[in-house]
Amino acid sequence: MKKMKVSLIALLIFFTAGILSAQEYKITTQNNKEGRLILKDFSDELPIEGYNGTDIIITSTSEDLTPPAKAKGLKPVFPAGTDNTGIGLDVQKIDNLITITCLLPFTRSGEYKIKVPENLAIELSSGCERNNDISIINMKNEIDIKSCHNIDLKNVTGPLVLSTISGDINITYSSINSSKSSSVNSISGEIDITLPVKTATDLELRTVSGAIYSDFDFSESQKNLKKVGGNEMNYSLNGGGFKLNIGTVSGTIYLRKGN
Amino acid sequence: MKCEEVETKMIDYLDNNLDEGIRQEIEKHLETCERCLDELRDSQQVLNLISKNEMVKPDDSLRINFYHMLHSQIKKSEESNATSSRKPVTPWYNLNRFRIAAGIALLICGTFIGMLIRAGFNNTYASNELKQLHSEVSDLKKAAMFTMLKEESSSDRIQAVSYANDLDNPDEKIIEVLIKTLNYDKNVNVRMAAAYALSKFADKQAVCDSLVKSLTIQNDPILQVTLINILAERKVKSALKPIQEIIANRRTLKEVRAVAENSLRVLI
Repeated sequence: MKKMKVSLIALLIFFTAGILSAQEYKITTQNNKEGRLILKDFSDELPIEGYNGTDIIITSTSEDLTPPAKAKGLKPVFPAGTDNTGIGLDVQKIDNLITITCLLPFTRSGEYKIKVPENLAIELSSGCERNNDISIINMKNEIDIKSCHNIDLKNVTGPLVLSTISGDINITYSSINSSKSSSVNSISGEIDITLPVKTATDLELRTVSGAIYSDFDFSESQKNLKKVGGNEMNYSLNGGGFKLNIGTVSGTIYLRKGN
Repeated sequence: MKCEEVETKMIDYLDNNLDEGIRQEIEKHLETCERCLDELRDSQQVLNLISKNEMVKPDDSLRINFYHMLHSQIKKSEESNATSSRKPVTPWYNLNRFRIAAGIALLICGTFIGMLIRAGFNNTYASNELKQLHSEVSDLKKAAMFTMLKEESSSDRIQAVSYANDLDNPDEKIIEVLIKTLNYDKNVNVRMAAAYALSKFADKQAVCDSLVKSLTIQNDPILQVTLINILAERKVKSALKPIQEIIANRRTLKEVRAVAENSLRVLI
């Protein structure tokens, strides 16, 4: 019983410490389609959540960022640039264009979470050395990601321009309100896309040695199976519309019907 | 009925807009007159072409950018007016007389264009006009392509590249822009779209050479695979050397190496 009490208290302390060390940084912007958020060089997991508000809110729960007592009166110095946020980030804002660069080396994690006005376009790139799994939910504008690892998108509308090397790509569209082109590509990762069943799109599926599975009806598609470079398939869903290009070298493509 | 009379009623006949009596008369004439029958076939072809001709829809961003610009302009003028005089200003497009004037202008333009179109169909140069229309459409697409390739959004740039797919015979400038996009665009997906667009014109030696050259400078695995596939498919022998270099390179990804080795079977 006593042991339990002690561990409970320990847990409580642990949690309060966690809460205390959570730091927040806000960037005020406008929640409109002209806005564009560029995220560079983030390591570790990076959850991004869209919401109906006007601030970009970044929280960090990493204790690593709290300076030691000896550092009082000193500023942290990073080789990648100047920290103007106090949480290891460099933020630049020019009109509607906001660029956030993570200054931490890839061996340190800021444990960031970002809340973003849902109408902003997001552009994200990080090098392969950064073990960076990206998850984005509830966004209503373009998402442009270059990564080497997993990409997980839920409740998004696109357009999407994604490329990854070995990571898996999971996408669940909420609706598609765009007439713009989308392109999703990987080398060896799986691509799993759930499209609204009524999507009007011109699909272009390419794979070299991977397989394709779907519950959409492709019986009338123009199959071209004799190519040296693998299989290529062009198909218009619901009369055709925006261009959606999905390609993989050795990964499997899953294309599912959503609501 | 005479040939000239039939000729003037041709379009209405094809559109099924004639009384039964006149219709029968024309049909009777067509049975005997070879020349009018030819004319009919030509007109039918033109009509088919027109109905097939897609409308070019301006991109959403055009509209949004326009309103954005308009909005900021109005705001600016409002601000400057507010500083000089406190009188509230009605924007010009809200004034009734402008609305009426715009309406009349539209009506006149519409009638004029309608007359032009009718005149165009009724003379024998119809097919020429259509050709001109076609070239105007592709000029528009070209122009859209050049502007959109400068957009910040990758999706816009992919769209721009895809316009090139609709051109049958692209000029040197388009090829040049596509090659530049293939080699220097910051986004892999855009570069890949450019590679596929160029592959459609790979029967031109210059395009082929630039694809081979691009293979030597690309270090993104997705693009390496794309280019190797395109070149192997067309059995481009000059691609052999760069492909062998990729296989020999220790930093090449194993999936890329597999594709490259596979392509050798076709190329050697």
